[in-house]
Amino acid sequence: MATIQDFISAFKPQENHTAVREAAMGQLSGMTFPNRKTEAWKYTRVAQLVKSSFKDNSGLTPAASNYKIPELDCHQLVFVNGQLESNLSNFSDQEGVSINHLSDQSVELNGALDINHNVFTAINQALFTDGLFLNVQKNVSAQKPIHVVHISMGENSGNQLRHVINIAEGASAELIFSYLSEDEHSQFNNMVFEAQIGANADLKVIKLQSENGASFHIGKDNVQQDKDSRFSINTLCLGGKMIRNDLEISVNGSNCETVLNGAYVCNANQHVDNHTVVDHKVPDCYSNELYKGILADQSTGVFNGKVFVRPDAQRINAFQSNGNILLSDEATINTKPELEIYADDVKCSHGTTTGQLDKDAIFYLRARGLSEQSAKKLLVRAFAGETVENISNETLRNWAANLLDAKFDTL
Amino acid sequence: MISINDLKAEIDGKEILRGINLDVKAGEVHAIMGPNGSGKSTLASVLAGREDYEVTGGTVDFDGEDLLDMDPEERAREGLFLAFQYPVEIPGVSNMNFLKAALEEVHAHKNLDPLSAKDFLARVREKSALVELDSKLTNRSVNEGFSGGEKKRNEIFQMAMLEPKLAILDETDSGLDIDALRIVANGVNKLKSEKNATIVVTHYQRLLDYIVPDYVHVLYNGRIVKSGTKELALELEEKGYDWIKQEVDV
Ligand SMILES: Nc1ncnc2c1ncn2[C@@H]1O[C@H](COP(=O)(O)OP(=O)(O)OP(=O)(O)O)[C@@H](O)[C@H]1O
Ligand SMILES: [Mg+2]
Repeated sequence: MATIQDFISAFKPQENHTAVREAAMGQLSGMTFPNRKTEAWKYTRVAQLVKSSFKDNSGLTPAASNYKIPELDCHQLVFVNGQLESNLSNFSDQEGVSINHLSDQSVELNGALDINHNVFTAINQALFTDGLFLNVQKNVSAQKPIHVVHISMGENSGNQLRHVINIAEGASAELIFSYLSEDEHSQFNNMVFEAQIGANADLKVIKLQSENGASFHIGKDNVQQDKDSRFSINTLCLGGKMIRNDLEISVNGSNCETVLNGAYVCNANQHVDNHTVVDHKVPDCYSNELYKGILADQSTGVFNGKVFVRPDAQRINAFQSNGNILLSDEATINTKPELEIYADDVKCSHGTTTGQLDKDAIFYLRARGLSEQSAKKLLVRAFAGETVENISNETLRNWAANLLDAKFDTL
Repeated sequence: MISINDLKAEIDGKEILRGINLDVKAGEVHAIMGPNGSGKSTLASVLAGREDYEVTGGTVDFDGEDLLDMDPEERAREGLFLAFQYPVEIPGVSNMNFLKAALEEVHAHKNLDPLSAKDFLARVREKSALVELDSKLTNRSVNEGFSGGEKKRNEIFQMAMLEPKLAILDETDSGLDIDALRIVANGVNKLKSEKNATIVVTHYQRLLDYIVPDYVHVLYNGRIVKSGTKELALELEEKGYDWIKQEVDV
């Protein structure tokens, strides 16, 4: 097995935010890469990833220059191989909304993220090159969505960004993270996103993972919710050779709402692993999680959703569901919903389903003139489309649905 | 229109159709009756192209084309329509979206201009009125949570939208109350013309008071064992199938 030191040696040491970096480096010295005995990584092997030589690959400029979401009026930050590309970006502050990035000299990070035994989080924390630094002040609504575009290009590019978001009491914002490849080289995105959502604040996130079929993505999303706040995230895993997402929500205040939706649509030899944790620490909260998977060819999917309801967290309503459709005999899914409930007055449910497309339905649609391909597409869309229906911004909802459709066309 | 010649089919190695012969010309209505399990739905499914059945012999000519050589969707686009005995529920797929997609593909196949959104909606309004299908139902997921009668009406609504050359109605009347039956039959009659034809599979002569057949056939044990005019249906209603079975089994 490759050592962590070997793996990180090609990444440039960074000069800023030294305290958090040193702390992370310190932790790394006692860590190893996960192997088949590591429970949290049981179904996701990192051997191929960690023996590759990824590196900082700055100075490349993408040929295409339009990463806009059609008809969306938004701020846009484009990071190319981990560096903010100002020519492609277009953002400005609004009264009470400060959009900045971590490599700007004025930015000071207050506190390090809990690494929680995750090697890749530690590596990111030690070596991140940049990232969004968003602060929305009390009772301010960020008027436009903020679109953060990640472009990977060139051979062996390893990109590590850390996005830090602060939504103050009563404030609100909407973020879109797009991950794209400019070419077909194997690349690595090691991403961290952390958000503090203040009392009665509101954060919506849409995460669109569309990297090329040779690339790796490891993502850690950590969200802290204060009382009366709302958080929703829609994750679409469409591209990439391997994706591992760890989404962790700490619900620290009462009367919160947490909505996690995700879809993974995989073909060829794609491997997509979504691990989620919703930690209900206090009473009177609601969480709802819905993940849907479509797996074709030899692809593999992993879903592991944990919901904790701590001893004093009474009157929690927590729902979780994961449904999968296998389009081939060689596709596999490992799904494990886990409820750990230590309070007694709660309403919780979880369920998983795995099946195939309904043959009778396919025949019915074909008997009305639809090609087999479009019949299957309609059924697949009906199955997975639900995961984007809650996106309130219509332009974004249509965009997400279009991305799903485009992927369905390749199945 | 359609000419079925010595058609044989089996499922899981079990022979169900044992040599069907049937000719249906444009403008005609044929009724197929017969006891449970005689192979009526199997015939309808084989004609529509369900792949679970293996055709082991015979030919089917559909307006000069080899029907058995076509995929189910090609048959539909060429104008064959099957109203299912048990319409499938398809959660999440809206009736409207699916019909729009179906019409688009049918039009593309026939090299016709695509239907505009406005024309499509006008057609939906006209045709759903024909079978008195509530507009709420046209917008819902295909057949999901529909009552038995609503499902059957939805089949005829789809038929009206697609305007087929040959419609095969597999027990579209079963489970309908008399009002619904009248509505469905009325819909079918309005769509009838000199250019198209209808095969109605039914157990009940009642339907044939509304959709008057030119010919009535009895299917038994995978063969058409008797054919006649509409009076045959009355006779069957009165006497049941035993006398026919006896004739055949002798
Ligand atoms: N999947 C199957 N496997 C085995 N046998 C089948 C299958 N489907 C149908 N059959 C058999 O084929 C025969 C004909 O069935 P079919 O549904 O065509 O009859 P039918 O005339 O339409 O009957 P009904 O009047 O009850 O609708 C029956 O004996 C039935 O059990
Ligand atoms: Mg039948």
